[in-house]
Amino acid sequence: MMTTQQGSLDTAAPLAPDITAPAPPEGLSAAQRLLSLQRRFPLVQLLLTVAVLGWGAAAMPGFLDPTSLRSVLVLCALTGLASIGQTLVVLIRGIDLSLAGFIVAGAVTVTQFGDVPGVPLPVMLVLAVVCGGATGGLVGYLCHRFAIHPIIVTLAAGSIAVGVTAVLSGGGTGAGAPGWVVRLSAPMSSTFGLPVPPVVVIWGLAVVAVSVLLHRTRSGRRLLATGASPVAAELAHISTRKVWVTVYAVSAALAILAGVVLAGFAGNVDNRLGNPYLFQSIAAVVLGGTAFGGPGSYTRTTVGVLLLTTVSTVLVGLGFQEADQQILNGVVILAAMALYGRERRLRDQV
Amino acid sequence: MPTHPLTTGPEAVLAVDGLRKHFGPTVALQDAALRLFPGEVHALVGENGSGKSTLVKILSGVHRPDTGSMTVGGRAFAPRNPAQALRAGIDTVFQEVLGVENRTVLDNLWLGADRPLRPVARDAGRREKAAEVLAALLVTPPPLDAPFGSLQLSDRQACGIARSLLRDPRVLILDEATSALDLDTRTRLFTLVKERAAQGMSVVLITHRMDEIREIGDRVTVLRSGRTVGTLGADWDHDEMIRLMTGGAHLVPPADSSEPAACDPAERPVVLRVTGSRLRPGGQPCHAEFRRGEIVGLAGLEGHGQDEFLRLLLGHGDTEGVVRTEGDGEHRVTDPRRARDLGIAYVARDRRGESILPWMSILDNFAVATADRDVRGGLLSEAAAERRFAHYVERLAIKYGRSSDAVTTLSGGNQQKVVIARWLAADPEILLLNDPTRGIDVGAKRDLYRLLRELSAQGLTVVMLSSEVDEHVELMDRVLVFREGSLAAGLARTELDRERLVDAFFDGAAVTA
Amino acid sequence: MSAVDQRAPAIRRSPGAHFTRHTCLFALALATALLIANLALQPRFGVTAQLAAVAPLGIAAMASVPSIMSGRGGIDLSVSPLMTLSGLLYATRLQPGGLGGYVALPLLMLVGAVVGTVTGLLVVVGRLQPIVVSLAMFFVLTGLDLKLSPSPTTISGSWMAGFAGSMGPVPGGLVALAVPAALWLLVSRLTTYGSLLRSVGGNDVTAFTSGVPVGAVRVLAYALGGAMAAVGGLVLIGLASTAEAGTSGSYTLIAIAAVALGGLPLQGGAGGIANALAGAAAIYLLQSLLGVLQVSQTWLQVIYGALLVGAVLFGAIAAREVKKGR
Repeated sequence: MMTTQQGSLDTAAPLAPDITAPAPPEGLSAAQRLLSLQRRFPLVQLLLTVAVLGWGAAAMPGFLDPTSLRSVLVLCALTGLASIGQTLVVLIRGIDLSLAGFIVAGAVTVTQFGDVPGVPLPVMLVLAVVCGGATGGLVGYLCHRFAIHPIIVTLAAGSIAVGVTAVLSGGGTGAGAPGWVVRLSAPMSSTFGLPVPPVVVIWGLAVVAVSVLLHRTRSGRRLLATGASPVAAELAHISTRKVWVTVYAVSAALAILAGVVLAGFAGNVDNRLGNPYLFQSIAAVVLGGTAFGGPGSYTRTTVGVLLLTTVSTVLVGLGFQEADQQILNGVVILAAMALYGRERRLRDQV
Repeated sequence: MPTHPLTTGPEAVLAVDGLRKHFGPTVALQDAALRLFPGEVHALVGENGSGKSTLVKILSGVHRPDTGSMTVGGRAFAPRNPAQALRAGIDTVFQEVLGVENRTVLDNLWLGADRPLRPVARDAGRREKAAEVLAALLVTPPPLDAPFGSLQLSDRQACGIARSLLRDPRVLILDEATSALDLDTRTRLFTLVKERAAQGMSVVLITHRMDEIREIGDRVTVLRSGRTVGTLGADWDHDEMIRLMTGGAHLVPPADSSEPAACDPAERPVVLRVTGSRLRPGGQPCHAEFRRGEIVGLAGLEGHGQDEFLRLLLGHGDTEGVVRTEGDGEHRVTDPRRARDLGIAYVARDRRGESILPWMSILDNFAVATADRDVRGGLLSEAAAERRFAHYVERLAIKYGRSSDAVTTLSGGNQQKVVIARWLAADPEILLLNDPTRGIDVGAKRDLYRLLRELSAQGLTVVMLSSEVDEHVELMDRVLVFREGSLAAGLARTELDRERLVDAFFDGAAVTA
Repeated sequence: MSAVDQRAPAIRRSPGAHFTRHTCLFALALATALLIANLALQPRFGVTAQLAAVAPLGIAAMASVPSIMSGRGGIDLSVSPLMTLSGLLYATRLQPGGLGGYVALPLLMLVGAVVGTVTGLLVVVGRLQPIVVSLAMFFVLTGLDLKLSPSPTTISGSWMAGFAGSMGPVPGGLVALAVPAALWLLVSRLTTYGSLLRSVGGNDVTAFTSGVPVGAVRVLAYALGGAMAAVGGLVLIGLASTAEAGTSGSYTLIAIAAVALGGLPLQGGAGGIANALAGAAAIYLLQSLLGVLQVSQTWLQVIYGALLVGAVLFGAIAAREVKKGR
């Protein structure tokens, strides 16, 4: 919103005294400071998460037991892992609907291709990730080269990914995931002695890694600049096409990996396995306060995931039905958008 | 009826008083006033950023004023959107808002005439009327059913004007709407405007071209720093207008006053050479040389080739003849990346659209083109960027709160300084600037001029496109003038003054001022 | 497929015809080829049954058109749950309430228009991204659908059964497609609205400064889409004799795919329902053909994805040629 408001200054070609630099931070009231903090970090969302947890604890005895907390964390981690790619894509003003397809592709790979003679499963997985990445890269290239809205191309790519894996696997859905994959997300398993399932640890590491990558490396800076202003980024000698290709490739590769983990969690794999995660990933990104083209970060998405998951867990626990959750999802996304993602007024574009 | 004491006649069709408008912390209009009488052509002049466009946008209903009064025909006038302004008979042609590309010329001419969900007008009269106005404006009017997107810029602008003329407005506002018209069309437009004025239509004309004001202007109102500083009668005097516009102050002391040139410019080495490149297919080949430490202006009427020339130096277009010379070495500037490697940096024209990264921090905006230098142990170090930035903060007098604030919290002038710092940090030997003082305040302008002087004294070659005649006169060592898509003339410091320069825009034919 | 063939010439006569014809050409040619193939391979390729089967997709695709045409990234992902909502409202409210007759159709279209208006207002007044707003609406409507009827409601013997067969001498599917199409043509051809919508979608800033009420035009686009979608719910009941919340998400993505395959320019301002119908026909006929050839459903996904990419590439390159040509 800040950006929107300030953006309007320039249209007026203002002639202002040169003292319009913002007042020093001491001059800000407490409310303004909180507001400015909220713009940088989804504070309200975090507080809401805590409040919802408290509500759950008050209403349901045993809600804060380690066992049930672990389950919540696993759910968070699964959504969180599925949302990494979406965060990156939204930051460059795109959207990735192929997520669902690549999740299915990853899940099918790990459940169906475990017994291919001569090819050990890890090799198979690497192959899947590489193929997925290449497809994603192609998606990014086509969108950028021909200025096509990614919604269509990613939709098609997801469909192709599901189709190809199904054809290769002969459409079978019999076999389950290998034990080690199941253990990744089994709530009662532990990680090197830590009392949390491996998937949660993986997610924690991913949060750190993605954040460092986004905000502390040149590649991350190029990505953010591409989202902030493609034209300015290109003029600053950033190859925005390379950024698009890379981001979509990474998003697809990560979705394949997320699919592998999900296969272990879900037990049986079908073509619709990825759909809820696709919608949740968009919801989490928006809810965390990442706007199309930025500002945003994976940390914000993480908070979005926490809120989204705790709310739905508590609602389920309290006997609310899927219907109420869906409605709440929608309302929450709208509220988050109203806070962050408003566009410029038409009159400021004249 | 108007009651304001300043009213000079009861019959003013449009009266504006004490108009004020701010955008965030920036005051765009402080105290604007205007009296427009029936049948007069009233020129509105002022430097870039004086508030002309804000005033026009308020009159046309795009923006709403904070305070102030407006009356049309004696009745209070407070349009909430362009539709209401149009209904009151105020019709504006904007410079850059021309038409809908995928609709036909006819649709574009009648755009906005219909309200939604009314029966489609099967009015053959519409075609005739549209054809009539177009025929009056253009020697070869485009077919009414041609897609608007297929028209040349000049024809597009003519269609924008035709749209307004079709509505028979009480007040027609032409906001730099004649800039792209070819000479023929402009003459026809002025004839048409005079005819309509004789029938009672009033015209507000915003233009940079003195000859246009001379030709059809009845009176002139001058804006400076968001205030109306005076209205001149038909006998207006050129010098007085300039004095009103600039407040009498020259932005920089004339170049030859204090510091004599270190050495004869002609003896300095050539750093960039253009031989025989064409700016447009079919245009004349251009020849130009740029020497170390020069400040060279690119001038001409809007859209006459200076943009293409600047882009050429940056490695776009017909770069066959663009050569960077360093010592004995010669390297062709083939593309923008090559240009960067050869020490050429470019500050784009549209600050908001092409330069700044809106939500990113001041520091990120500064470092984006040179981030490689801030890598410590594989990661970007903010401290390193901060240290590099500090140097330029001082040098460019950039005023900001914290370097982690979004760049959009800065004023336009300071944003532009950050952008210039971005490119200076790349240690260029040639700096290309595309109208960098557009829409920035006088103080920042002064800082920028001073900086460019300093840099050129240290050996930086500056090539700067500017749409302000005064800027060329005050700042440049020499000016290249473009006309009809070709490099038409070069003026050296010694022969550079306002009249000669404007004269050169028109091949010496059209100027009397 | 006569629906497509009849409607296309009507579009061609319009001013933007050149471009429209260009964009839906690909899908039309594809649909025609697939139709011939289907007719050759299936001796009993009954027009009535096929029209009925293609109707829901055709309606969902048509309902997606106005919002996309309105420009600025306009899109409505909530069309599919809105269709289901309409069907469920009929099953759980109107029919038990004695409004099960033909009167239900205008009533439900009104409800659809109201829902669309809400979406449109959020986009226009809230200045929010259409894709996210309509995704949120997708959630809200899906939730409402589940609330209305957690389990499928069976309806038999209603007048909607005619959609699956014939209504008088006319195939029911054709009627189903004709209702929203008629609404669209009525509003966009007989009133100034169509022209304004194209202008707003083409360049909203110019339209705004020329005095066009841009916001109202946009909101109305979403409302129209909503009203058109509402028809789809009744058709679904006619086909399946049940109304269930499970169909909420069924047509979301495939409707967008149909529209894109039909060549509707996603940046707005051009095209029309011909694009939607051509795209829907092509997708449906492809599915049907692959079914006849006993190609597994899995291949369908691949072919359908490849087609989609091919179609948008075709559109993008064609648009580029048009630009170059001037």
